Order: sequence, then structure tokens, then C-alpha cells
Amino acid sequence: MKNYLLQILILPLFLTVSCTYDPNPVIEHPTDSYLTGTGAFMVNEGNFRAGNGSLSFFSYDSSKIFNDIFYDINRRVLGDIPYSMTISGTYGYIVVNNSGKIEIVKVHDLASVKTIIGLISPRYISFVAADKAYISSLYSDSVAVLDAATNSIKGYIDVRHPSESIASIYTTAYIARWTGDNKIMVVNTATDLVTDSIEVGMEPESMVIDRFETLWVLCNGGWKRDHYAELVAINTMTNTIVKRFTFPSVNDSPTCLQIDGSGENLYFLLNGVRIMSVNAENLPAQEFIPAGSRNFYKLGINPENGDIFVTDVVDYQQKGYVLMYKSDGAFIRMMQADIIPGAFCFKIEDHGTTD
Amino acid sequence: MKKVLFNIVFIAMPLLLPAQQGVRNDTIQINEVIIRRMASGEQLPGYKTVRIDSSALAHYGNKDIADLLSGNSTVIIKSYGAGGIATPAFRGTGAGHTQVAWNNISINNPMTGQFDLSLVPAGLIDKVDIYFGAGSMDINGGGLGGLINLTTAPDWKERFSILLNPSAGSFGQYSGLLRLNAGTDRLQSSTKLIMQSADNNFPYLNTVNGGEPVQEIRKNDQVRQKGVTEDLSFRLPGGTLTAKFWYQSVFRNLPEPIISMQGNSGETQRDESLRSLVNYSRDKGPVLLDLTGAVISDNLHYVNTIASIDSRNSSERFVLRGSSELKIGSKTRLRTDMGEELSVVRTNNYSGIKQRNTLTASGVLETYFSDRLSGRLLMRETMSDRKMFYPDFSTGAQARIIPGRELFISANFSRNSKIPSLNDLYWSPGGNQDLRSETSLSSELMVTASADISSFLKMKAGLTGYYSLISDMIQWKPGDFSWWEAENTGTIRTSGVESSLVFTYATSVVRVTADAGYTLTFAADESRNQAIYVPVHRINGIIRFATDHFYGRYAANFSSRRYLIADNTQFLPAYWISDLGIGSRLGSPGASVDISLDVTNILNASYQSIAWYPMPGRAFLISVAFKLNNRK
Repeated sequence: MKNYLLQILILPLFLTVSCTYDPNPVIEHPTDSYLTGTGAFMVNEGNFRAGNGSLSFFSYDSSKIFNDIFYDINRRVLGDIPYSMTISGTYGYIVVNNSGKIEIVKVHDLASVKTIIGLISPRYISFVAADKAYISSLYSDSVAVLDAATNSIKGYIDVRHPSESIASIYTTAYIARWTGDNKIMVVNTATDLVTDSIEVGMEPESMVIDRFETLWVLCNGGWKRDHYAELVAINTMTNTIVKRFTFPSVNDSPTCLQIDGSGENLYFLLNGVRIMSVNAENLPAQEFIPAGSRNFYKLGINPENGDIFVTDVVDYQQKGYVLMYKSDGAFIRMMQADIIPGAFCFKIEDHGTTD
Repeated sequence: MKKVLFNIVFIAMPLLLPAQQGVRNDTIQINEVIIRRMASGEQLPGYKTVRIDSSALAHYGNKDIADLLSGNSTVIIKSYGAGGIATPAFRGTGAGHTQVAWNNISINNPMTGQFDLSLVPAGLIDKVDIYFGAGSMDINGGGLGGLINLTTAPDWKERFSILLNPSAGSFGQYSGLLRLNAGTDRLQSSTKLIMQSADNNFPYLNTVNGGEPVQEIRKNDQVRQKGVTEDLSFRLPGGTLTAKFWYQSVFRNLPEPIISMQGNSGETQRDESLRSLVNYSRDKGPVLLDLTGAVISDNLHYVNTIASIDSRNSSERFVLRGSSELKIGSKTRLRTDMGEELSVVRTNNYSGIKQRNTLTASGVLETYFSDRLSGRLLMRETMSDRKMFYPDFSTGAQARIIPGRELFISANFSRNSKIPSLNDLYWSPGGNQDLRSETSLSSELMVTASADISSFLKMKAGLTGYYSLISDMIQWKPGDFSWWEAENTGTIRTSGVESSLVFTYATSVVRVTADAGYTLTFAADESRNQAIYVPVHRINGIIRFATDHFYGRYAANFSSRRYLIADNTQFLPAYWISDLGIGSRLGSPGASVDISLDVTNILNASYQSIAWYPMPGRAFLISVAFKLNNRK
């Protein structure tokens, strides 16, 4: 009896010796990955401060989705709240918001090239020239300027407010001051100086540029719901507002403005996917693809074939889904991604890339 | 209106005759045991309560209560690293389902409904009692998982004593505790002061930056803490009048999770609390009475420089409680309790000042049918802001299985509810004033035994099984707009087994105690997956020895993997942590010096309690305690 008792009490001593070497979270994930051919990257944001963000890829070649591919290739987690991804040349830039970093990878095998750290809550990276990109920030009043030749931060542009989406044309970049503000800052990309500002609706959340070089700004009205959401068109030659559509209910909170490859049709989320011609005189009254019971979160339009990708985050706790539709709205397939599947980045073989 | 209400409550208290919460036994228990004594004023027939060993409490004098419970109980402590926020959880429930009380008065923050145990230096506390499950209802409602009662109490045998206990340890840890007790048979004063400081610049493994783990030094994790308590007790004819005061101030830098690479975000938090109470306890005569008035004030100032957050939160709670107890014959007692609590919160996170008025009335009937069978029934009605809730209840029974033997079987069944926290109701945005209370239906079955194996060797053992169904769980979920909203969601089921085994070997020369515990916990919603951060298995084992001049302690704790997401595909790995302490006590009973060395995490295990917040590896603490003592 005494011997047995002694063994029970001593056992923990020996078990302690075999304690886990790596204390960080363990993620059980599929082991296959397939990156050749065209497809769409999706950043799965994961839960705030849980560090369980990941990257997925839908391959047109195999018609399959491959999840957690950054970890598969690089054997480390992507980070906390990967928020957006942009491809420039043969490199992919994954903006990891709450980790304060950008992971630079080779697009074709996802091997890590460099990690840019020390960024303050970065949201989007937008290439304004072949060798230069701007990085917006949720908390900083400055937009970081990336030297793409060296992949290092070479300066900052003070826009006097946190920033969100960025759109550029020729030597002009438009930077949206999203949270609690209503301005678009105009920046000369040659000098990195603010040259103008444009007052739009409350909380400009997303922007695109159409085939007529008109900047479209979707203002979601603010989280307090004390302003009406608006869709604003701006002439990029004069930086003046040429159209202004106000959403009918103060509770309308449209998000995620996108445009198709032809630059003729706008898409956004409001109780589903809505579509609108850039020549339309009214906002779309109905959903093109109703959300139904799904919890649509982010939207992407394949610039090459017009396929519509939309994410369903379910309850923001469990793994979400990516739904794929043809440009005419016909359902193609639904695929399980990871937690909070978010922004899309399309990989277009032999035709360059776009975010 | 407030004055009128207070007057009514005060007038009503004497009318609620008789009695009180029983005569509190101030005997210092040597072992951590399940309190289960027939015919005692302190027991709860049919319920599980555990008192932390007094020597363990003394051993942790320069640490916090979170460290104490983590190393000496099966309570789960979720900690954001050394000095970080640490919240307790029982039996698969969350931090909001655990009540923490100071001398029977709840000190959970009314805004969050939780309590941060890292804010309580163990050196300021004299007793720690853990009430599991429905046992918590004896002190307060709302502890669906359980309750931790922190008690400060005078030692009436003291005439004068002074204890000065400085310590220094790894990672810039310094602490100083001063206890000053003085008194007579009629009057006792106990004053405790503590100051603690820690840089917490410990090395840890980081696998985020590359394929191979990298050792880094934790930054921006400094903590500065100071506290003072004063207990004044007067013995009056037939009763005792007590006044207690506790001031605590903690400033800490909050480090980033290691997954973040944006550098120091300038996150800081200052917690400041002022707690005071006055108690009158009449402990003689056929009618016992206990009256308490308390004022609890908490301030929390959180700053995040990068995110431009300056969150200022202030709460004040005014508590009145009265209990009376009537002995009916020699075997039955009837207790009635009444409580009134006014919470007032000022914060820039609500739209305006918010307050809540909660009135509770309880009745407890406890009967000892014979020396083999006892039973207990508790009924409680709660009214909050003029809204009546369904009454809670708890019924338990205990039976001695074999006459003359210390072998008992106990069972209880209860309904307990927790009203939403004020953040759940009023946080802007997302607070939801339509929330319902969370409700638990629980059942519990226990077998406990103790035996003298020989004149030197004693054994105590306990085995408990429980099952709870908690409905209307409150969770924050993304709403229709850009913010999260509080809502009543589904149901979770928790079930498990808790076992404990204690051997004590005591001679005139040496005393050795071996204490082991194991818990098996299942907590799942409709998906049947284990709830996040709830380990299925936990084991703790402690071996202690003491002679006249030397003592030692070895403790080992195991936690199985803790899942991080609902589908259980991500988890924190299991870990074993072991601590070692040795010491020597020199001098006489009147004047002594106690020198001790503690080594925590002796095998330098790498682990995390919360994902991406590393815990310290091996750490040393040297402590010297000088004590002058004059006892009756």
C-alpha cells in the first residue's frame, strides 16, 4: 500500500520532465495544399486576440478549397486578425491587423519572404506604383509608405485620422478616413503629400474605381446609426462629387463595395449581395443574391470571369463558409473555410493580379 | 427613496428574528479537507466546501490569491500571465459564474460580474473557503459554478504580535508584508500592509516569428501593488461588533499577446478598491443575529494609447444584510436572511449613470434528524429594480452510512440564477436591457470518508459527481451592425467527477501530509464539443512536511488540453507544473525568524493559461519573516 501511494505521489515529478516544448496553441488542420493555377485567396480573420487567423485558397483547377495553407507551408501561424491580401507581381502581401505586421509570401508556393513588423493596426495595402505601396491603419493617424524594392517602411503620410480603404489612379491615391469621420484624403503618390480632401457621407468604408475613372465610395453611415448610409461617386479629374445616393433607412448599413473586371457593375452587401450599374440612377431596391439565414460578411468578384464569392461567418465562433455564384447569380458551390472568412484576393495566372 | 428603503431594511432586520449564520468556528484547520461534521454550526449538510490549508495560505503570503488557488485547489484560474488579470472558474462554468466574497459580502465587480483574483495579495487574507456548486448559495446567489469566500478574522489569543515579511525573487519581484495584531480579551486590532512590485521580464518561448521556437524576454508587464486592511473587533455582552476596512491599489502595464508584433500598445490598467463593512453578531441566546452594512467602491482606469481608448469606470455598492437564526429544539434551526444592495456605476462606456437595486430574502431550514441523517432546505427570492424573479432553491441531505464510522453520503438538488451584469445591460453599444437571468439546475452526489489507520496515520477521502444544466447563457455576439451585442443564447450542460485523498502522518517529531485531487469536467453546448478553456482533466498533488524547525512542500498540478474554439480543432497543450518550497524556523514561540526558499515551475515548463500569453518559467523567491509574538 505504501509503495503504491509513493508511486502515485512521485509520478507527477517524472511526468513533468516530459512537459510540452512548444506552449503555443496547437491547430489541427488538413495537410494538403495546392496552389498552382488560378483561384482565390481568402483571409480568415479568426477571433480577436485568439491568434487563429489563417489563409485559404480556392483552386479552379481542382474546384477545391485548401485551408490553413500559410501554416502548411511555413509551419507557423499566420497571426491575429489577418484582414486583407494584395498581390503585386509574384509576391503576396497579407496584412495581419492585430499582429501589427505584413507577411510577404511568394504567390505560387506561399513560402515566406519577409515579415514587416511594428505596424500599428494595419488594414489594407495598396500599390500606388510598381515600387511603392500605402498601408492604412485602424488606430494610427498616419499611412505607412512601403518601399516595395526593399520591402521596408520608408515613410509616413499624416492623414490626421485613422484610415481604411485605399484606391489609386495614375499619380493620385484616395484614402478613406473611416471610423467616426467623413473625409477622403487625396494624396499625390509621387510626393506622398496630401493635396486635397473630399467630404463624403459618414464612415467611408470601401472604395472602387470604375471604367470611367470615377471613384465610388460606400459610406455605411456610422456605427451609431445616426446618419444615413450613402454611395458617393467622385470625378477623379476634379475631385468633386458627381452622384450621391442615400440609402432609404437609417438602419441600412451597406458594406464591402466591389466592382467587376469590366468596371461596369458595382456590388455590395446589404441583406445579401446587391448589384448596380455604374450608370444607374437609383440604388438597387432588392438583393441580387439574398442572404436568407446566412450571415454574409465579405464579398469578392473575380475580375476575370465575374464569379461572385461571398463569405458566411455563421456565428463568428465556428468555421465559416465561402459561397460561390456565377455572374448571373446562379449558385455554384459552398465550401467550408476557417473562422470568420473575410477578404478575397484573386490569383489570375498570366494576367497579373488584383486585390 | 433610498433613505426610506434603508430604514425599512434596518427596522425589518430585528423583526426577522431569529438568528444568524451560525457561530463561526475560528479554529485554524491544518488540512485541506471537506468540511462535513455533524452537529456543528458551520457545516452545510449535503454540500461540498473546502478550506484552503492555513499553512498553504501562510506560504503564499507574498503572492496573490490566484497563485494560491492555482497551486492548492482544483479551481481553474485563467491568467493573462504573471501579474495579469486572473479569473476563477468552477465546474465548467465561466468567470462570471464564480462569486468571490469578502467576509460573506460579494465583491464581484457589478459592471463585469467577475472578480480579478490577481488583485488580492494572499497575505491580507486569513481564511479562504471554497463553496462548490449549490453550496455557494449559503453565502450569495449567482455562483452557478461556486463561490470563494475570503475572510479576515481576529485571533483572540493574540495580545501583541508583529510580523515583518520581506521577500525578493526572480524577474524583479519584491514584496513586503507587515502584520500588526494587538488586543485584549475584549478588543482586537489586526492591521496588515503589503507592497508588491514585479517587472515580470521573464524569458519565454515564441514560435510565432519562425519555424523554430525562439526565446524572448517578456516586456511591458510591470505590476505595482499596495494594500492595507484593518480589522477591529469588540466583544460585547452576547455578541461581537466588527469593523473592517480594505484599501487596494494596483497599477500594471498590460503586455501584448505574443502573436502581436506591433510593439507596445501603451495598454495600462489601474484598479483601486476601497471596501469597508461593519458587522454586529449576537452569538448567545436562543436567537442568533448577524447584521452587516458594507460599502464597496471600485475604480478601473484602462488606457490603450494606440487605440485612443481612455476607459474610466467607477462603481459603488451599498450593501445591507441581516440574518437571524432560531434554534427549534436541539436538532433544527431556522435561518432567515435579508439583503439589500444598491449598485451605482459611473463610466464613459454607458449612456449616463446607471444603478441597480437588488433585494433578496432567503430562508434556510436545517435539521439533524439523528446522528446519521441531516437535511437542509434553502429558498431565496430576488427582486431587482422592482422586478421579481422565479425563486431559487436548494435542498440537500447527508447520511452516515455505517453507525459510528466517518463515512457519509450526501446529495443536493438546486436551482440557482445569476442576474445579468451591468455591462451586459448597459454597455454602449451592445448592452441589452431585455436580457434574462442565467439559470442553473444542478444535482450533486458525494461520498466522503475519514479514518484513523493507525495512531499516527489518518486518511480522508471524497468523491463527488455533479450535473448542471445552465440555460439562457449570456454571450456577446456580433449584431446586425458593426458592434457586438449581449444576448441570451442556448444551454450548456456541465458534468463531472471530483475526487480527493488526504493522508496525514503525525508524530511528536514530524508531520507529513500528502494531498491529491483529481477532477473530470465535461462542459458542452448543443454541439457536444467541450467548452473553450475548460480542461477535461485536472490533477493536483501536494506533499508537506514540518518539524519543529524545518518544513517543506512539493506541489504538482496537471491540466489537460484546453480548447480554444468551438469545434475543438485548436487547443492549448496540456502541462504539468511543479513547485518546491523549503524553510527553516528559528527562535522561540515569542520571537522567531522564518527563512524560506520557493521555486515555482521547478522544471521550467513552457505553458500558457490564455493563448499567446506566456507564463513564467522557473522562478525563485526568498522570504524572511521576523515575528514577535505574545499570546494568551
